[in-house]
Amino acid sequence: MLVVAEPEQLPVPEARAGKPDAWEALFKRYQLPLYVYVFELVHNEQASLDIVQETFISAARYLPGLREDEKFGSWLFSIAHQKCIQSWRKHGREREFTEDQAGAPPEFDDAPSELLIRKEQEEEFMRLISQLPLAQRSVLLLHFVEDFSLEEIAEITGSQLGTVKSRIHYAKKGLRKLIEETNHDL
Amino acid sequence: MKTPREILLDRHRKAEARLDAIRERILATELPVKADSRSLPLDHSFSLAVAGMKLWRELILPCRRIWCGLAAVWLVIAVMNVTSKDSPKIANRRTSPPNSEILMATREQRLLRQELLGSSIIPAAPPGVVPPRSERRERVLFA
Repeated sequence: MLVVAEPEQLPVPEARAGKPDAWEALFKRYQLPLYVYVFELVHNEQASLDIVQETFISAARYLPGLREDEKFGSWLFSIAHQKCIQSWRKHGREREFTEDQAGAPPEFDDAPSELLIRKEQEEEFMRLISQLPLAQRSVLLLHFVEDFSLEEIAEITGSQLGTVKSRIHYAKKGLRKLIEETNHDL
Repeated sequence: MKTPREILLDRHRKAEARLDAIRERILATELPVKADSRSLPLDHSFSLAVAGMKLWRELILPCRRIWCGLAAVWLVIAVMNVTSKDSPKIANRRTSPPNSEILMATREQRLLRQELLGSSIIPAAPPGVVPPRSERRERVLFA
C-alpha cells in the first residue's frame, strides 16, 4: 500500500492511471480533513458524510480534468466547498457566504502553526469557530486544517484574494481576543 | 498546547470508522466503473469535446470580435469566389463560334431587313455561280 508522507508526494498520476492503491492513499489522506471542514460548515453529521462521499465520487470521475497534480488537495476541497454551497442553497443560507467583509484587506499575519491553544481553551476555541459567520469560518478552516495559501483559499471559495485576506484577518482577530480574555481569567 | 489543526482533527476522530467505510465503498464501486469507461471510445470523444471546449474558451472567446471580423472577410471572399466562377461560363457562352444554322438565319434576317427597307439593290451573283435557293426566289419576286 502507498503511504502518503508529504503533500508533494501525492500519488495523483497513479490514481489517474486507475491504481486502487493510489486512490486509497489519497482518500485516506484527505477523508478526515475534508470531513472536519464540511462538518464545521454544515453542522450535521449525516450531511457531512454524504458531502465527503459525493466529493470522493466526483474526484474519481473528474480527476483526468485536473491540470496540476500538486493542486489535488485544493481541487478536492473546492469540490467539497461547492457541495457545501449547494447544501446552504437548499437551506437558503447561500447569501451568508457571499456577503463580503467591509473594509480594506489588511496584511496577512502569521501561520496557523504559530497559534497555540491550551487544553482548557479548546472548548472555547471550538465554540468561537462555530459562531463565526460562514464566510469567515470557511476561510479560517481552510487556513487551519490544510494550511492552504491565500491564493488557494481564494480558488477554493471562488472569492477575491483581498476578500480572503480580510476574512482571515477578522476571524483571527476575534480568536486572539478570546484567547487573551481566557488567559486573563486564568 | 495544540495547534488549531490538531484540535479540529482530534474532535472528529470518532467519524473515522464511518469515513473508512465510505472510502471502501467508493473504491469497490466507483473505480471499476471508471476503469471500464476509460476503455470505451466514448471517453475519447469526451476528451475531444473537452479539448474543443478548451479551445473555444481560451482561443475563440477572448478575441471573439476579431474572429467575427475574420469570418465576415472570409464570407465575402467566398461569395466573390463563387460569383467569379460563374462569369467565365457566360463569357465562354458568348464567345463560342456560331454554327452554320445561326449564320444562315442571320443572313436571312439581313436580307429581310433590306427588303423591308425597300432596297432594290441586290448584289448580283457572279456569272456561272448558282445562287442559293432563297436568293433565286427573291429575284423572281422582284422581277
